[in-house]
Amino acid sequence: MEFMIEAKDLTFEYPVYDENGNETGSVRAVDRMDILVQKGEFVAVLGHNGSGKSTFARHINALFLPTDGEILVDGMDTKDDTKVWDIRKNAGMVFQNPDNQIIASVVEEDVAFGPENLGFAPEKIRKNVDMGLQSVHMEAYREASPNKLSGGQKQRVAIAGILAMEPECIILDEPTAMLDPSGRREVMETIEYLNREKKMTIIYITHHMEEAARADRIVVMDHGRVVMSGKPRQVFTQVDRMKELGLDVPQATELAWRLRGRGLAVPQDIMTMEEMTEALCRLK
Amino acid sequence: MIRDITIGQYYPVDSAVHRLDPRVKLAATFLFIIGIFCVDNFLGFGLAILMLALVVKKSRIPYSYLLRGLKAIFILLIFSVVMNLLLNRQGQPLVSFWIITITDQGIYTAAFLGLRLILLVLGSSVMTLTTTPLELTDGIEKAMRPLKKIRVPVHEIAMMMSIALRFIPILLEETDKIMKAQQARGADFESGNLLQRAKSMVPILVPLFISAFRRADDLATAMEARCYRGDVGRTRMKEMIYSKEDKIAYGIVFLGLALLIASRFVPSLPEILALLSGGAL
Repeated sequence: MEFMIEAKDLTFEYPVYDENGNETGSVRAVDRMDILVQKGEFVAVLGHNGSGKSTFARHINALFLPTDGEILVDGMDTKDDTKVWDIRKNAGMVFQNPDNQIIASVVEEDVAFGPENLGFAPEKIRKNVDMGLQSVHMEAYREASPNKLSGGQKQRVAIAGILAMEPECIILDEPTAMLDPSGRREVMETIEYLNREKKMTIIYITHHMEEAARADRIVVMDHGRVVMSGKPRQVFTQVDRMKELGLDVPQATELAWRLRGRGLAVPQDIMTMEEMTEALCRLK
Repeated sequence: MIRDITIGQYYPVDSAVHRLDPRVKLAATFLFIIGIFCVDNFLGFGLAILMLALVVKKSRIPYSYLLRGLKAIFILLIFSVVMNLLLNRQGQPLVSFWIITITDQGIYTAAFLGLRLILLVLGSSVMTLTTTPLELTDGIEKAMRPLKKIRVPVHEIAMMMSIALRFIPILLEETDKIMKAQQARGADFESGNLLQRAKSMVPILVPLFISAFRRADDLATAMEARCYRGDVGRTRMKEMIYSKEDKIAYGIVFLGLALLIASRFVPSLPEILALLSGGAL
C-alpha cells in the first residue's frame, strides 16, 4: 500500500517570548506524532483549539518544518530543500478565511495563480483553470470578482486554485468555519466529489462533527498527539472519551448516548437522524 | 458613500477596449493626460471630450457609471475652480464688488482647470474600469522590465500593487464594520471640530491596522502554499503579445495626441474674425 503522508515522531516546538522579547521557554504544538495516510483516503482531523491540528496540517506542505522527527509527503521528506516546491504542488492547502487566500481580483486569474507559479505553459494553465473551475461548479463565474461571491463560492474558488496545480492531496484547514450552513454544504459536497470521483487524498480539519462523520477515517488530536483513530462509527461511539477530550459527537449519537443512559435500548453506533428515526421506530 | 468610488474598480463586460493589451491602455492614458495638458482652448477640450466619449461608447461602460467616479473629487473640483475664479486678477474685470473680482481670464483658467481635472479622472477611470488590476500590473511589469537591469524590483512592485487593489474593497468593508461596531457602543464620529473628529478616528485605525497585518500574514502563507517564489520560473496564463487591434489602437492614440496638440494652433473664433476683418479692410 502506498502512503500519501507518513509522519514519524513528528515534533514541533516554537519559542515563547515575554513582553521584553526574551525567550522564556517553548511550546510543543506537535508532540512525537505518528500518522499514516493512504493514497485516496479521506481523513478528518478533530481536536479542540490548541490541540496541534493546524500545526500538523502546515507540516504537510512544508510551511512548517519539524523540530524533530520527520514527515514524508508522497515519499518526499519536507526537510529536503530541493523538494519543497514538489511537495507544495502535490499537497495543496485551503485555509479558513476565504478572503485572505484569494490573490487576484478576477476568479480565473486567481485560479491561474498556482499553475503560473509552477511555470506551466499558457495552454496548460488555461486547461487546468477550466478543469479546476468545472470540478467545483464555478465555471459560470470565471470573469467575476471574488468580492461579489458568497463565502461558500469563495472557498470553492480557493479549492479550484489548488486543483489547477494538479495535486494528489488537498489539506483543508477548517474551510467551513466562517461559512453559513449552505456554504458548508457546498464545500462538503465538493470535497466528497473530489475524493470519490477524482480519487484525491483529503485531510480535512474541522470542528463540525457532522462533517467529520462523512470521512473514511477520523483522527482525534490532543496535546499534539493522535489519541484516537478509526472509522467515524468507532470514534463517535466512544462518547465519554470524546467528551473528556472536550469534543462533541454528532447530534444523533449524542441523543442515542443520552437515551441509553436513561435505559432505552437504542444502538450506540447511530450517527445520522435517519438511523435515529429507524431505531426509535423499532422501540415500539 | 465609500462605495461610490469607482476609481480602481473593474467593470466586467466584454468589449473591444477591454480586450486591448494593458500596455496600450497604459500608454493611451499617459498620452491622453499629456494631451489635455497641452490643450489650451475650447476646441481642444471639445476634441478631448469627444475622443473620451467615443472610447467610453466602445467600452460599453454606462456613462452614468463612469460619471459617478467624479463624486470622489467633487469637493476638490469645486474648491479649485472657485479659487481660480476668485484669485485670478489678470485680464478684463467683468464683475467686481467688495473684495471679489472676476476677470475673463479667471473664467477661462477656472474652466480649463475644471475640465482638465474632470478629464484626468475620467480618462484614468476608463483605464481601470476596462482593465483588471492584475492585467494592469502585468502591463506595468512588462513595460518597466528594462528597469530590472538596474535592480528595480519590478515584479515585486507590480505584485504589491495588484494585492493592494484586491484588498481595497475588503478593507473598506472592514472600516465600515468597525465604525458601526464603535457607533453601536456610543462612539461619535460626526460632531466636534476637525481635530476632535480626527481624534475619534484613532479607535478605528488601530483595529483596522491590526486586521490588515493579520490578513497580510494569512495571504503570505497562502501564496507560499501555492508555490509563489517571486518571478522565478513563473509563467502567465494570458501572455502579452500585441495583436493587430493593439497596433491599430496605438495608431489611433498617437493620431489623437497629434490632434490635441494641433488644436493649440487653430485660431479661436474672435481671432479668425479679427483676421478676416483685418484682411477685408
